[in-house]
Amino acid sequence: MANPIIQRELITTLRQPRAALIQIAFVAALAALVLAVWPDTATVNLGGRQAQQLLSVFVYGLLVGLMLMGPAFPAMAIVRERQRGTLTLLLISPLTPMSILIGKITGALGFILLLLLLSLPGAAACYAMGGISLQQLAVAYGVLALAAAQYAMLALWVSSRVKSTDGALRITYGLILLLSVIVLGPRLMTQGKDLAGITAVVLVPQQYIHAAADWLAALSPIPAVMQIVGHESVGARGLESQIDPVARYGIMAGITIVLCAIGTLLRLQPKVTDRPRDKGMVTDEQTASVRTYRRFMYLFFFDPKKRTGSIANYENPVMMKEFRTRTFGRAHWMARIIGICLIVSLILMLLATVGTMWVDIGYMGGVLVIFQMGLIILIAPAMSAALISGELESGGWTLLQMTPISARTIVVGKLLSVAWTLLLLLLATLPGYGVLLVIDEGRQGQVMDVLISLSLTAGFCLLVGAACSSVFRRTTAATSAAYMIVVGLCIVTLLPWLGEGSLFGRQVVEAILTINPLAAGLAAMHMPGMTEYQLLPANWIFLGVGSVLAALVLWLRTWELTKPQ
Amino acid sequence: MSDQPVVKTVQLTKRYGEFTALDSLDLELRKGQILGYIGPNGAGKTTTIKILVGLARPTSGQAYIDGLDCTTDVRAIKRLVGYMPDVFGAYDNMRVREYLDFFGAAFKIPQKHRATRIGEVMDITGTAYMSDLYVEALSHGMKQRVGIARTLLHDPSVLIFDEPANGLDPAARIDMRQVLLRLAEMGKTLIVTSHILPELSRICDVVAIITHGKLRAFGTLDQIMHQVRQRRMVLVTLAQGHDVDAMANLLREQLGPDAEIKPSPQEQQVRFSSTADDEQLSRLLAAAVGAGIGVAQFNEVPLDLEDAFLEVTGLGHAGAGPADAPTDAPAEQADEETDAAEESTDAEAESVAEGEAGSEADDEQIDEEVEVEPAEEDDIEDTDENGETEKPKT
Repeated sequence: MANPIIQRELITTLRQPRAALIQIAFVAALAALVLAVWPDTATVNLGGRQAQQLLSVFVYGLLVGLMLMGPAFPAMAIVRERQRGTLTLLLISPLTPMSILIGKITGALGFILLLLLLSLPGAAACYAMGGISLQQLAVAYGVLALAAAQYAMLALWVSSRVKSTDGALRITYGLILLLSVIVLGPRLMTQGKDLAGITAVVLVPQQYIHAAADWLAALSPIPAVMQIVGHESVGARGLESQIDPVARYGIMAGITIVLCAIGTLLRLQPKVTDRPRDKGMVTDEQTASVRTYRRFMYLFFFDPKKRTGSIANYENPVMMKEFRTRTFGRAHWMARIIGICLIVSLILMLLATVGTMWVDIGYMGGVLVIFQMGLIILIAPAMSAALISGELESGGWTLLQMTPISARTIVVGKLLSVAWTLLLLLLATLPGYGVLLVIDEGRQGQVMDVLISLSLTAGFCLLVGAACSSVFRRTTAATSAAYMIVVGLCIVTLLPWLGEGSLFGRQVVEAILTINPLAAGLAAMHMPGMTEYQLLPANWIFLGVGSVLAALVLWLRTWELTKPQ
Repeated sequence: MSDQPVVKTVQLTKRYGEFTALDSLDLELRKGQILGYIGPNGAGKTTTIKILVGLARPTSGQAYIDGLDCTTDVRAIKRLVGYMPDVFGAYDNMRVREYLDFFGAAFKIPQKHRATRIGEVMDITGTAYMSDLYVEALSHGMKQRVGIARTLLHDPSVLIFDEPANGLDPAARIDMRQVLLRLAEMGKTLIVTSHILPELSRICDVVAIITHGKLRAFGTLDQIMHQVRQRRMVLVTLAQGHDVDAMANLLREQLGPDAEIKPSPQEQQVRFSSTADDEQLSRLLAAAVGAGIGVAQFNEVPLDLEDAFLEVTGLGHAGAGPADAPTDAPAEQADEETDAAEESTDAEAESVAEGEAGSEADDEQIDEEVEVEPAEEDDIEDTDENGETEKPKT
């Protein structure tokens, strides 16, 4: 091959046991999916309804698989080079930044495309059932390949900007959630609605708001996939856009890819290594004017450059250490995140208040549940998956072992550091429920059920992430595993819901959804489409048992790690 | 110095399955002494340290610090020992003072005394000016000093440093040496491992040389040199225009076939090693001068710790393979050890599979305070490109 990086990236990726594991798991999951929905009688619906539903489950499954597995390798591709010091070697070699970029992206995409190729037998099975055209399949695969390229380039850009591999993975998953799901929110809220009240406030014509929401939603491959499998597009009630969602996604994905490529190329310049060491500026040492300015801007308490006090005797030192060392654990970042949550919550309140004329209150509550669950799913595993493995990787674990701190103090301190953060974030999103209760007092019981579900889900995600961090020695592996478990539970188990009626019976779907905390929260809130399922308290029991098991794994592994070899 | 040993190991042995990482180690160290603990990679240094600090359990034998058993009194041992591993253990977004404050809190130093204690250890280690710097932004030398400050926080009586001079520039090494000497002056007992032997020889009271888990030599530097120095190396530099070969022939005549003589006409030098005593050497010099050979310099090359180490481990012999080279241990085991080393720093030091190298020497008794067992050439085996072992070519 002309580009040596392509060869090295592909070979090293395919050599990893993780790559083989992913391929096997991917094919096994697809095979299980097709087998589960394959008709056990000799009769097939001539209208192709069964095949269409099988295709929809299949394509959604592939998309979720791409979201989960696709970024794993490209997110580490550049940051790992930097950590090992090999990025400098590449930059001083005759390879141009463009050839490095092409090598990296081709290597990453090669693996993802291999996964897509492995799924072809499953697609052939869908086609064999009849009712699906080859063109439909080709477009579906085209969109999936484009989504793979979009995610890979995004992951590569993140990889070029961050300092740690686990940080790269966390931010990439967060951005993928943003690009794939959260961008659908505005369209979900505005499509087909009369926005006269809002246009009066923001002074922007309605059609521009609708168009902006449409184009924003086109960043996600989901509307395009919905179009291909014949589902109603997201929020598609009333007005529909004239532009084909597949074409629109092609444009937006292309723009994303180009922007991320430019961003990555800018980071692959030798000047990125030309940086002095941080001088460790402290506000307390600055001139009076700078001190006053920073104290005003950061309200004193949130100034990241001010000297911190000693850890008090009554405080858990491990918890305090976690707060100080984690980027988002520092006061100024916490304040920012909580502020964002408050603002989003207030916007939802506003929409709930002005939108009750045209939106079902359960629908608005459902949006709030999705927002909060999304926050938990995104943040909890990311924070907890580094708790133990991060210490093992940095060498801090040996140092902790050399102190008189007990294993219990270490574990409790680490868990509390994440639990407090999650609690603050959830509290910041609660005002929305207050408004819901003002509008409809009768929903008090539902809100209580949702709050219990949210709390249990947060605890479950936290403990699963922590258990993964104790099982895996590397944070990247722990983070990937935690996301796969949590996202798999919340998203993958929704797939049978899409095929209810022809592929799966209602009882089967309800049984599967029982383990899905998101579905349980939506059902508790009586979100349209989820009202007929009785998922509580079975879901709470599942989450409780799962949390206990995860805590047990965490405890056993921590005990094992702290005892002398 | 007190007569009671502060650190003591008795027949300390550690096995990982079939692999013996440490074999019947006997060491004693008294208050205020600095022990230079040296050996090639995978020799068993880190295993010894881990047992001493309670991070590993011995398969057999005992280890004591201040009379406390390192296996059963682990909690008490943590207060007595300050350990600086070869991996620093930095935390992101943490300034040096915050970092030390965390470990101070972890050692349960009361908050009202902690700031004072942190100031003291920063003064001792010369890190006060780094107080507000971020730990991850420190240079390697600065990190090492902060690491020492961290180990001193709880005022331990025994300090164990794993490769403290590794990767340091000459100036930082001098700083490090001074810090270690200052700690010894304060009455601390130090165990220092290092590959940089000249550094160790300048600060250590006692030296222990270990290979393949077995103690090869233990004693003061002089004692070890005395034992090792069985042949002396002499360098003769001739004045310009005088014949180097003539000098070499004279040496052969006078010293006999036992002497190893290496003439170097380009340098106008002849180097030889022999068992000749001072009297014989003076006669030799007189003979050379009498024969009209212009001798500009006639010096005995002093033996240093590096030479002693090479001599004791057998690495100085021509054709000998590296002391830490995998030999005839089972391939699976070697792979396992290598994987373990990649996985964690725990296994790093002892990950290299060892075989029967040194087995002959292993069987010999170490029955005096000073024992030197020059490894025989057969003890070391070469590993060829195919991973197969062969005897040294010498």
